[in-house]
Amino acid sequence: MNRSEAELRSIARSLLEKGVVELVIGYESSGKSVRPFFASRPEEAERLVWNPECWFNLARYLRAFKGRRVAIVAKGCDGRSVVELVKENQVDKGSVVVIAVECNGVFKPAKYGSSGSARRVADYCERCTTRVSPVADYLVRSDNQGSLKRTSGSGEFSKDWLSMFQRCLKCMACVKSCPFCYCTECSIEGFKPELVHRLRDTRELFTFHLTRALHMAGRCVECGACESACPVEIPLTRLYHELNEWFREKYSYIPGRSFEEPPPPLVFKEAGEG
Amino acid sequence: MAWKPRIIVFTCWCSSSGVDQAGFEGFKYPSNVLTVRVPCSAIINPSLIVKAFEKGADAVFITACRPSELRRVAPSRITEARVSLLQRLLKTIGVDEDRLRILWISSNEGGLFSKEVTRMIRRVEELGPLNIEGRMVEQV
Amino acid sequence: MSRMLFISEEGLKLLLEELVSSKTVIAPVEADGYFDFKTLRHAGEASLNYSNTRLPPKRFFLPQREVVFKHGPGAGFSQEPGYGFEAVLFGVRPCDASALSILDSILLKPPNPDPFYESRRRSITVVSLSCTRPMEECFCNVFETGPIRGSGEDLTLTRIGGGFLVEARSSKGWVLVNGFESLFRNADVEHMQEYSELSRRLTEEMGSRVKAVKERLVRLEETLDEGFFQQAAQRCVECSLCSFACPVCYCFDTEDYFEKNCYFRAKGWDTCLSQSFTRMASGLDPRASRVDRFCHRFCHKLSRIPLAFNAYGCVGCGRCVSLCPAGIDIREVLRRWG
Repeated sequence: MNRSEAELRSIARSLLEKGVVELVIGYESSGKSVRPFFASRPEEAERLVWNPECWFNLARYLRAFKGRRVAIVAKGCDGRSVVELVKENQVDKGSVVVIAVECNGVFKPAKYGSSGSARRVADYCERCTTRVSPVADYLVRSDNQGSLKRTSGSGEFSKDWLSMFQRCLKCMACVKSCPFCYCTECSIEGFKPELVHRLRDTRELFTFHLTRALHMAGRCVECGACESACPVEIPLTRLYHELNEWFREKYSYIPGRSFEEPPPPLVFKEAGEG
Repeated sequence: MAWKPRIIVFTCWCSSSGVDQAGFEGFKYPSNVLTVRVPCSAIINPSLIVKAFEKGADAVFITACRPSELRRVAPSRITEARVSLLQRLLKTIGVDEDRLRILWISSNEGGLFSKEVTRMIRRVEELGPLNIEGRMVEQV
Repeated sequence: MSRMLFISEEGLKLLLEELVSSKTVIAPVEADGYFDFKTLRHAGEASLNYSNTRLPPKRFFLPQREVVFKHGPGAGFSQEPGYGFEAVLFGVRPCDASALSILDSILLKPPNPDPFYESRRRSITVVSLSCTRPMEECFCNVFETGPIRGSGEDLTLTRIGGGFLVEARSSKGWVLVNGFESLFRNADVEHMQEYSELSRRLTEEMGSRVKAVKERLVRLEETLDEGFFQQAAQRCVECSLCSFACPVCYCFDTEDYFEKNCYFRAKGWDTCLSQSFTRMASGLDPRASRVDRFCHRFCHKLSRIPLAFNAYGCVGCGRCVSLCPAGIDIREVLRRWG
């Protein structure tokens, strides 16, 4: 156990003991890896961990607790999702306590049957802009100040997106792991027959992925949860990054950076203001 | 038989008069062009444009009213922003941006429409068939 | 156990080459460090040095999407044919092969066998390859689906020094062997000794992992510990990874649609964890809550399928354990109730 973990556990324990929150949403150990964990009693705080296996964006769970007092362990990108979700009226800031942890990057989880190559920092972490959440009720500093060793040459990236889309199983793991995919009737799950069928159709994967990208544009905080959840490792974060670039260029907008900045699609500026 | 690009043209209510006018003046579309009239260009969901490409369109054009000609500027600007975003997405996945264009057409600009759309179709002919369906095949 | 045969490494290479030239052969192919079943264009593409494929070979028997029938003007009504041609599915692990025999018990049960599954099952010869390096997530010992022999294959290959021991498990397996008689010979005493040793070692290794008695799992229903499942269900994000990656999961959805002037009905994979799985047209939903759906998955696999079909709905491959984004682990259920 390192110092930041000890600090995290102490904060969580105190919040639960004092009844400030009902639950602390964090991570716990699970075999060689890590998984989300909901601590509801002070003694459960001892199970909380914080390490580079913590790729999952816990802000995904906040929608189930709207109105209830919960605390959440948040990396930089996760914290930005909290901010953006508040702006989209999905989360009530008053009832969420953010325990920000300083992040040096996470590992992508090794999928079933991989030929056991060395663990690498996720390539989406290499584009990280916020190691610490912009919203923080508590801040847990990292033990080591340096970023995780980024291996040179983060793997060849073939730009053949259509081939990559063909691998897609339409398992919806990307959608269901994302804090921003909260539509109860998702248009690409097949509830709206005019877009895609409910059952996977290879041709429609084109529409599936492009529609998802369009819906993520300007909202995605590039936490990489979708990419890490994906069983066939489609580099989704790269795609959404390109569209976020558009918002950066046209509107100087970065999602989740501040509570004051309204999301451009929600606020339309008349001619002359961009 | 030479390949002819399949083009979908979304026309907003007003610009559709311009498009019709071009037809009345004997404009011969050099391609397989389907026009779809919508009340306003801003009603076009970008996902539907994506769907058009998936279903076989080699290009999608949108005719819309110039922002300066509208009482409210917003709708055309919205369309413009959406198309720009979608062009960026298409470019990222390797689909040429010239396959998705906006044409600013007023209700009396049939001549302008003919000229512009011909030019754009020539460009699409250069680019060749998009064939999304042929490229998205089941991996056996 | 029938008469054991032996084929050398060279012999197996030749066998594969011959098969590829005359039939469709599907085998694990490597790409970016992962293995997936693909149709071989040439024998050299096959990769037999792997732990397991990312996804099970279920899709060759139960496609993710298949058209069940279509009806068009002039064309009339037509039911899509099954697989249509013979194929050899090569290099399946015993657990994944056992899943096929479980699916046989469920989907081929009289009086209404699934004709699509049946035709594919009939036309595909399954050749399994015993495990020699089980993965961290594997627990085939609990359901007796490996690591050496499964129960759904036509031919079992077990790698030993110099080649493979071969056990024909069905008439289709014998047909394959007899077609290439010259490549096989009877296994001798040394071969059998190596086989016994390998079997003993692996059984011991697997047995030391998850200790559970599968027969006890039927009590899941009566002793459903709400607390345990409530906790775990909180994390579940209701994607469909576990159901899609599972070699046994067979639940399906159907879809009617119109395309190019023809009416189609398609059938394909669904997941019981989806919010709309049990939602009916009236709005009534017997499993409206996530906990209900979550509990159902385990009850169905570990208690209801055994009761109804005399087979277990899990083979211990470990894919759901590895792929679940929320870290849900069926082994915890097994340890606690098994």
